[in-house]
Amino acid sequence: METNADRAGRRYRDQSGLWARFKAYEAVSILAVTIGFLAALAIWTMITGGEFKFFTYGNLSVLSQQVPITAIAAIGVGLLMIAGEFDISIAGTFTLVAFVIALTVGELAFPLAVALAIGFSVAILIGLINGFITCWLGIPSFIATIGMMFFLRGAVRFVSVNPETDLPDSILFASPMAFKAVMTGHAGGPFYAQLFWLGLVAFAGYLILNRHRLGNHIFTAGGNRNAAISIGVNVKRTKLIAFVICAVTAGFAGLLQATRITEIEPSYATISGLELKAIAAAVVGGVSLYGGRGTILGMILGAALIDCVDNVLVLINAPETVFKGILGAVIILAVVLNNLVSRREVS
Amino acid sequence: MKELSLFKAAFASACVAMALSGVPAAAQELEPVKVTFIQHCCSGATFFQPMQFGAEEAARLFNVELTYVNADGDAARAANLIETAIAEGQDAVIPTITVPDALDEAIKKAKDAGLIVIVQNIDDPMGAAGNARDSFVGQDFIASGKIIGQKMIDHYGLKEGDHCLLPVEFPELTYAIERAQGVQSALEPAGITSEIIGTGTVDAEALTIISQALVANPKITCAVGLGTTPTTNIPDAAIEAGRDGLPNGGFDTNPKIMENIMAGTTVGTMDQQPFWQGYLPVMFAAYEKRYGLKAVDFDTGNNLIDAENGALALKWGGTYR
Repeated sequence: METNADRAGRRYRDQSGLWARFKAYEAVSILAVTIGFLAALAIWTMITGGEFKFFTYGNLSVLSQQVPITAIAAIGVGLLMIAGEFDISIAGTFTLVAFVIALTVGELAFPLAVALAIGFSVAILIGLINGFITCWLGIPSFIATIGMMFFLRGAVRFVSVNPETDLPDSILFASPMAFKAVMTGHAGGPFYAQLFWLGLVAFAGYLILNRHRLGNHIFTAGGNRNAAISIGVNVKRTKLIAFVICAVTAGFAGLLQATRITEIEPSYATISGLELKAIAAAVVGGVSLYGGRGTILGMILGAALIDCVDNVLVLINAPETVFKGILGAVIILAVVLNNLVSRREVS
Repeated sequence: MKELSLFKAAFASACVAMALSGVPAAAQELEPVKVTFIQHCCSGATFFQPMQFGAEEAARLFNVELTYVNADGDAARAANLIETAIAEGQDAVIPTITVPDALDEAIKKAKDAGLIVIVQNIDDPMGAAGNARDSFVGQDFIASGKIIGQKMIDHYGLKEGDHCLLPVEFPELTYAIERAQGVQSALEPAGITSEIIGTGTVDAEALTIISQALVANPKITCAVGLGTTPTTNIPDAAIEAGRDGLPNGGFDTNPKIMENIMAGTTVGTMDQQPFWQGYLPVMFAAYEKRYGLKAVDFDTGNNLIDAENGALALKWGGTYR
């Protein structure tokens, strides 16, 4: 039986000509939505005579530091969703990895390289546990990772205890200046290093999904599990790898944020809402909630769209009381438009 | 005589004209001052209602274009909002420093860009030495903690061997640490021990957490809420845990806290007067932008509200109180 992965690949290959292949590309719908959104902002900027500051140097600087964080988390979550699973614990992973690295450097005075190795080992372990519980114990990933979410919130509070006060406390991440410059430094114009790291993660994600057998397995396992098994795909191992990738990207996003603001608060694991934001970004970007479909570009554009809408609401001074409601409505609208454009292409 | 009267009239007119030329124009006639006010978290939480009310009232009175936004408890988002204010060309930004060093860079960028930066509600533990901010408008948490701690001892007769629960929304934030220090500075010399628990900002969750703590730990003989949410919920939690009449007090005001105080269920609360924390920074920003009057640090008060003076707080809860 033809899977979503097969259909996507066949549709892409059967088209002749660059324009036809472009139209067949799955992310073209979210690209159209994004271009439409930016065009609307550009028109609004002209109407207001430049009073609307979205396209200013300063505002683009803010976005170039914020969007990569959301997008990197969305890439990990999105890739896992293509494989047919969810991870609701990424905010905890995001915070815990940053805490472990900061503690290792600050309290234990280990070299940064060792701290990074330990921190990302924690991320890998979280991914492995999530994957094992889901794939070998058969617990739905939604439930398994909710459990992990609560566990990680507790773990963050545990490791964040200040021995002087015996209470959870935020921690300073005293990274070397060179490391800070490489990870989050000003790259020129309105661009910051976080964009480079997003590019690197996105490229790696693209290679995995579209240029490696693992990507085929991820699409197939998510699109049709039984078909994947019947053609010899090791579904459990494939999904396990996807869980690990998700956790590692979440940890990396946490490291970038901690490097930028130099301090990590344990409450971020609890109140940030990063998990829902990353899933929303992936879905807005065209990743199917049912698995088997999605693109790296779509995940990035979905994250950018959500963060840009948030930014626009601040710029237009939207009332604080309706802020979240408007943001949610726009996300729903983006998903609906995305689906409409996608259906027109398929028909 | 007529000539003398004309001379007097001309002289008087000249005096009035000279006087009027020195009178500043009303705020509404001047260029609006553009200010971004960043509430650090908890959209919809009752504590922040007077703060927003105050900021909006000052904006109306002093012709300020106010952008009121919420950082949702995320220091990185707060940093983004400060940088967005810079990009928008605001005249001033008014953030809260919930985490000591997270906003240092953003505040410095704001100062370098010429913005006025006035911190409200929670300051850097190092005060002005901690970052580039111009001034702080808020409560001295340590002093206020000592006041309510002493009130608990005096009113309830707490003594050596008593053990107080200190629930707070976010134990790791500066306000929680300093309030706890203040309360403990009163309790510990009297031989009273204490422990801190985190409750979050959701009333239902806080109620459950506090009641379970009371059930699990019979040696708890008193409770001092270090924030609005726990102070609101301690009395109900005590009832749920079968500990009616548990000595309790706390921080901040809302209608429920005031009802408990007026009913005698709670001894009192330390009011940090969030209305001033909204109103004064906006006013300071307007005056500094227009006239160069530098914003100053302002202690919004260690106002202990109890049954004797709580009537006005009850009446104006949600707006001015």
